[in-house]
Amino acid sequence: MGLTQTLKNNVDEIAHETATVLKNLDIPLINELEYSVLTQQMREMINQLVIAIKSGVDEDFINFLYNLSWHKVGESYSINDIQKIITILKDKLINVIENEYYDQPDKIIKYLKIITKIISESRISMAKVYMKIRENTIIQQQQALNELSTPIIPLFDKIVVVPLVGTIDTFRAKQTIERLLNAIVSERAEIVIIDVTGVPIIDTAVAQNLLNAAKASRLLGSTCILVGISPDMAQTIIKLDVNLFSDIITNTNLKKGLETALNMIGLEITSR
Amino acid sequence: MEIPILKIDNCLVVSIQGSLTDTAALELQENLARDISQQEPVGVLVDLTAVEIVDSFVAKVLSDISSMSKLMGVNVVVTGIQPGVAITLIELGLTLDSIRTALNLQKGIDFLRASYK
Repeated sequence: MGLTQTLKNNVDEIAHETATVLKNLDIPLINELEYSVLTQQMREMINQLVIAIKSGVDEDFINFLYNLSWHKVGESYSINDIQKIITILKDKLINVIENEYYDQPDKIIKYLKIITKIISESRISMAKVYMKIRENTIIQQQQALNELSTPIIPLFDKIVVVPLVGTIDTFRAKQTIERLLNAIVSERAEIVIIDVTGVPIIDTAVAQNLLNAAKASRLLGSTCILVGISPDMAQTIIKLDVNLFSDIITNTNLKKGLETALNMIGLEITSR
Repeated sequence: MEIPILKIDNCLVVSIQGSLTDTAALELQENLARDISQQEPVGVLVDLTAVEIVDSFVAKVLSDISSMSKLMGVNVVVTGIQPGVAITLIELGLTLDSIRTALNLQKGIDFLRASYK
């Protein structure tokens, strides 16, 4: 009797036994599963394995693994859990082979080789898929973070505010400048207020980037006001000996900056 | 393709359309210098609204054109610089510090009018 036939005959037994072992592992996500659902999933995996043994590790099998991993990651299984499940399935398959062919050592070796090959290929593919899915998630999160971290707010007619929060690296600075310039054009902004209250540390690179933002907005025809330089930051700038900000209008805080801006476009706030 | 230099009141207006070739840029520089000396305008307005990107050479020529006009004693205003162009200029260190800029053609004309009234 061939390996595939043996596995087919023992599908139920393998599924039940692996399911029982998995239930005892104390993985919360598996504990939440109904026993019948778990056995059904194991049965499906074994059936796919049988097909893979017949036809080799082909595209269909890889696709199956891909879908399975996708599904499992969606349910937030860790890669450890997935590898554990594969190990348990492998142990059980080896058991079955041992029991079935105990008097035919050459067959045991041959079948063990086949099983090991398929199992290790499955491990590799699942790990790959898992990494890929995680990478996608990281990229998406990074994009979301980037969008969140550089809002450009049209505060009033002709005035936009850029509240910078957190550390500014060169990449973020470039991105902010780009978004700022586009906002100036689309909003027809005459005044740009850059608020650095939320920037904890300043170094020469950051200073240079801020200066570039100011110069670029001037090229477009709007004026840049820098507000919210903290006492610490001011001292750092002096110590760094960067006399960069002499050509930029600076104000203590956003409130003062807004006053300056309104003054420049000929408006004022009065009480009724 | 030659870039037309238009005269409005006593100002010269140059509106650059689309991408500028190296020869066209140099030609413009020459023609503008000649027109400034012949027609003695009070202001020159260079409109870059339709210029989406520039390479380093054209950026340098545009910067030169502005500084040159300024040197010849006229008020220069550059209008409608696009974000991409601004970034290129900054990266090349051509910050046009002495040149007046404006958001759009209207603002530029307003500035020139105000300067000679």
